[in-house]
Amino acid sequence: MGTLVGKNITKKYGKDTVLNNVSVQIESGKIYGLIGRNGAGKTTLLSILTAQNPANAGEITLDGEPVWENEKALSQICYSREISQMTLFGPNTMKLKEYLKTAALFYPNWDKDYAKRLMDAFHLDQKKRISKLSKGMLSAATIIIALASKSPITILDEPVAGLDVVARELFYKLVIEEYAATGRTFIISTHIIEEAASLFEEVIMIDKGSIVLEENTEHLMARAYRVSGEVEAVDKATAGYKTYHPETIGRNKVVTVLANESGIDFGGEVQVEPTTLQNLFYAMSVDAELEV
Amino acid sequence: MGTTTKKVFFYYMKQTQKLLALSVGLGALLVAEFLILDPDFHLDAYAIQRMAGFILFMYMICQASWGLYSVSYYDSLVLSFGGRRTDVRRGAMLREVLLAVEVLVIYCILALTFHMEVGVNTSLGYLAMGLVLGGFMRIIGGLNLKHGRVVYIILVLVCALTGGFTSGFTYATGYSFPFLEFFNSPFFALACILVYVVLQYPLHRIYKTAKVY
Repeated sequence: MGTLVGKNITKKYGKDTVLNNVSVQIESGKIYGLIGRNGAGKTTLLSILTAQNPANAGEITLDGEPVWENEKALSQICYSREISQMTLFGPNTMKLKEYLKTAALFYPNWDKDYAKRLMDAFHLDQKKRISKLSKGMLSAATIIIALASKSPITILDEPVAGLDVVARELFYKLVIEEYAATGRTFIISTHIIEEAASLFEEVIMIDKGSIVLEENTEHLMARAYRVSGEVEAVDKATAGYKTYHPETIGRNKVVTVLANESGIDFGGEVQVEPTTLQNLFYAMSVDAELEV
Repeated sequence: MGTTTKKVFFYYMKQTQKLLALSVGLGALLVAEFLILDPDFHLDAYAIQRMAGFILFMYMICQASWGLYSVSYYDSLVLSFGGRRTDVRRGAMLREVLLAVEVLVIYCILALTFHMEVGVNTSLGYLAMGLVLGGFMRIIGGLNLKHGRVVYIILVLVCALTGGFTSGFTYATGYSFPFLEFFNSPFFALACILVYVVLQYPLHRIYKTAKVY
């Protein structure tokens, strides 16, 4: 396993700059959470890191070797992305069985028995055509490919989209089990942050094509606070700190604070509670001007 | 040759066998239809020759349609599973050439077994034209991914205008372009192979920056 590094990545689609000079470092043996709003650049970043999409500028290396067109590097990475149900001439009529067979051909560590067990666990019929699968089934299929690939670096792009709560809990359990057994590196992008937050050892937050933060989850949450109280008291207590999403109701105010360190004493005039990763992300990402 | 390269080539070789089965199967099916519907049609050298002709025709259709389809789906699929772009491009080329060779072998077996009258130049012309169609349609498929379906519209317009011009010219002047004579000459197959080689350059440009869809 190795360190996947992306330096100064820029990607443009026409006049739109989707990724703006982004640098990221993925260390081996960790579970990363990649979170961001729709259109922030998560999928683009992941596809560039895995050489599935060329960048306009920047360098992507795995253990110092370029990933682009590098067989050795590419064989260590599995980027399981959403399977398209449509092709050029109409519905994707490939059967799930064939799709998995193709995956098995290319991933050197493919575990056939594990894939079979996962198919049973997610109640997937491998004879079904991809165009006939529901959204949840498609997500389950991408999860199976990611987990059964046994690739040292495994990336899942919104794997739980469309999954019911039972399937989602199963997925989280499987990731933990697999991580405990093999120590693989996982990068999981998701919108259901609250459920997945306990999985993430490291969190990467991306917004409008730039990395907003890349940090150990525990350290991050230790320095994130939710401060509430009277308006003047909150303003006084949080002066000098980076605050997000202030909400004022009458004389009371609530604000999310991301301090530089943990264990901050805001004083007795305000109430301080820890915040969740989802709430922190919401506070940092929401555009107050567009709130109704 | 790296392991992944071998896997990519193996994958495309498997696809070739499916296309071969499709070409031969459809050719045989058409002859079977004649045998069933026409009481005067018998399984003789002429019937086998008709079948061989159909196989060549279906081979060209397979080359063209698969070439158009594969860029956005099968090539993209291989890239998504960690295949290199160089391997995908070469794999697709291998598929086209291998299919042509396999169809040629089947044609020769049929010709020798059933003592068919073989138009060597015409048969080789079909095979070489299939290669060109495959390569050309891969370019069209790649351009479609980049620029959208306007590429098809332009292609149809060019074909329509070319057809209209040549037929109109022939009607107006009485001069018939020697397409058939050229097609039946030994130079046609060679010209097609040359065109196929030249097409590899734009294909290289397309595949160089291909992405997964």
